[in-house]
Parts: sequence; C-alpha cells; structure tokens
Amino acid sequence: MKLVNVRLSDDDAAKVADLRREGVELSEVVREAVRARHLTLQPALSPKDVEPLLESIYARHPLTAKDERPAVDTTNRRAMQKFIRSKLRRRR
Amino acid sequence: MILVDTNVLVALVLPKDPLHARAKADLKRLVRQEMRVTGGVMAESCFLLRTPNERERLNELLFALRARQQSDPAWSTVFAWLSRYAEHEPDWVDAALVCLSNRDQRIWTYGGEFQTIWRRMDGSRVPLAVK
Repeated sequence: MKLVNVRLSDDDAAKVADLRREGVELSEVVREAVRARHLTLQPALSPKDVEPLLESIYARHPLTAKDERPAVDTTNRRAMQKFIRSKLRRRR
Repeated sequence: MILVDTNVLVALVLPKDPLHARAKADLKRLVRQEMRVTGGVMAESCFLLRTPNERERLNELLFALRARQQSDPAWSTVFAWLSRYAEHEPDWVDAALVCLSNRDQRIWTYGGEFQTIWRRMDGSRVPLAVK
C-alpha cells in the first residue's frame, strides 16, 4: 500500500482536526475523494455505447436461467416490502 | 442530476425483467446525465440481486455510468414525509428519494406512486426523469 503525504493550509488543517474529533477517519476521506475524482477521468458514455456496454457486462457475468427474472414485481411497493421482510425473517 | 430508483437498476441488470427494454431506452436518453444512488436503493437492489454475478453486473454498470453515492436527506425530513403519507404505508427509500428531489435532481423510477400519490413536502409534483 502506498503512503501519500499531503500539505495542508492552516484552514484545511483545522478542518481535519474537526473531522478527527468527530471520529472521521481521514484516510477514508482521502480514498473516497480520489475514487470520486478518478471517475471523472473516464470518457462519458454516449447513447450508442449503451447497448455494447450492457452486452459486455452480461457476457462477463452470465446468469442461470432462474436468476434472469426478478423475484418480485419491482414496481409493486407492497410486494417488494413483503419480499424484503421475508428475506429478513429468514435471516433471523 | 438523476436519482436512480431500485426498479431501474434491477431492470438494467436483468435482461428478462419486464421493464428492461424501457429502462435501456431511457438509459440511452439519460446516459450523459450525472447519476446518483442512495444507500437505501442499493440495499433494496441487493435484496433482489442476490447472486455474485448479478451484483457484479450492478457494480460494473454503476462504475461505467460514473454513478455516485447519494447521502440520505436529514432523517427528520424523511420521517415528516413518512408521517404525511402514513395511510399509504410508504417505505423509506421512496420517502428519501422524494425528499431529495427538486428541479435539478429528478427521479428515474417506474414506481407509479411517484406520479399518482407522492408529492414533495411543499405539495409540488415530484420531478421525474421519465414519464
């Protein structure tokens, strides 16, 4: 794992101190910021990319026939609630 | 900015979902927009997408779309909205999406209540990304 040193202004250092007092792990803040910023480096998708993108994802991660359909009507809120409740009940 | 709902993510991950063709067509239209997903939507999606490959599909899709994590609104706001619509037994995910929505943050959902029943706290219609 690489170590990164960052110089901070007094103002930013004070903010870091506030975050630490609140129990925030600074290294995680930095990792999240790096990941979010890195996402912006990728070229944005265009409408013509959608079809090949989805097909490549499906090909890389094939599903069995029984998993290809959702277990519940996802537009039916009550059915969703019932489904999730049953999953949670089974876990207990 | 687009707040994506569970039914959209599931439909995009599962090609045999009844909403898949619609979701794919809508994605082509919305693909240049910034997408955001709340923790609640992600939790619901993972209840429905149970196998490792279903979740990998979701992970790759969100990465490719450059989707970002969206924090929930203040709990007190969500609870206030839930109380207002208590007779309809709304869930937290819908409530959080409605509370987050505004002119610049539209919701991409196929849930009918967002058009027919749910309103924002100020009584206005919920701004939707698709009709």
